[in-house]
Amino acid sequence: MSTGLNDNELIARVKAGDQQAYAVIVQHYQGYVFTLVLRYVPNREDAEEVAQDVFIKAYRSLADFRGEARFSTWLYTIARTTCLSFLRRKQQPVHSLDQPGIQEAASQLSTPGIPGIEIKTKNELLRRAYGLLNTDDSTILTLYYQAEQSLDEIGRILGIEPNAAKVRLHRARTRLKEKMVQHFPREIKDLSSF
Amino acid sequence: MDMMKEDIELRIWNFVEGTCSHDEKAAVQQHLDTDPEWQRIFLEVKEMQQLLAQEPELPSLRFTKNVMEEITRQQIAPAAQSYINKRIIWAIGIFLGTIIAATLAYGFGQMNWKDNSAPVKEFKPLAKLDNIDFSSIFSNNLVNGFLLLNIILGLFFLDRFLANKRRKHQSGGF
Repeated sequence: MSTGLNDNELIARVKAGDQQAYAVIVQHYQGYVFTLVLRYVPNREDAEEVAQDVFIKAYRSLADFRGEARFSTWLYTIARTTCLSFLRRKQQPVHSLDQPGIQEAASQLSTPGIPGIEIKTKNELLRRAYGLLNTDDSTILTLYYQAEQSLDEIGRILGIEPNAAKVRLHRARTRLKEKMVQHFPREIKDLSSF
Repeated sequence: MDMMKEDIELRIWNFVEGTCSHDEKAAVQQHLDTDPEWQRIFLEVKEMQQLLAQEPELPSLRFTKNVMEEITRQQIAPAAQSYINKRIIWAIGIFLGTIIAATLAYGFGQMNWKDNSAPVKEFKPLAKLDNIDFSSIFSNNLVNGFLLLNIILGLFFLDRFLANKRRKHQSGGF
């Protein structure tokens, strides 16, 4: 469902009362928002519910979007706060990298997926590897590589300086690679010569 | 991973993603042209980059329909700017600032700045509360006028606050 209109034009239409223009926005961003939510809420059913909530909140708050940042950046900021509220309600702890010993604990808890289920695609391999990372790492990687946000925009979403975002991104990449080598050496070999 | 390799990897990532300076780009390119170790890491980085750039995951097919069904029951809330009146915030600030300034001015006015009789090590407050004659404060026309003005301002803001709340409630906004 493409209209040839950009985000700001679509939003202007929605603000003017054309609700159907919002369907185009939802259609376009549903995958990005859902993927981002999955980093915080791994259960797909819950993630879908949270992602729906993100779009509803964004719709209600549309008057506050002034177009100073990209719409996607604004939307992902809402996605992040909605996920954090959801986790707070569910009392699921979000572990920050800053906590001492968190990475060691995560490594001990991590399992290389369900035995017997083969990883046949790169997408599946990536999803499983993301599951082994902490939320901070998987979020920043998703924002940069899947949601196509710049370091400035990531800084805005996460409330950090762009330079700090750059450092965190590199650390996250390094840890992802370590996890993949540690847990999926055979799959990596099968899918590509790493 | 040793520091050397980590540093090379970081520089190559910045090169591949175009987040380094022009000079740095040229320096990395030079290494890539001549050094097999740099070339090997470059290939690793490219493969990792390709892996990371996978398509996002998709929710169920009904996702957009579900959102749009919910949206029909919702309406766009007025912008926060429209109901946060900056003039009210300024007025509250001025109101509080005036109270603080008046209190300080009165306090300083009560101090005995020329009292040097106390020895250096002995603590002696410049103003004693029991020396202040409070009865004269409230019989002063200026202070009474100031307090009256504050009460009027307070009632004015309370009225504005309640009127805004009533208006929002009547319009069914959130």
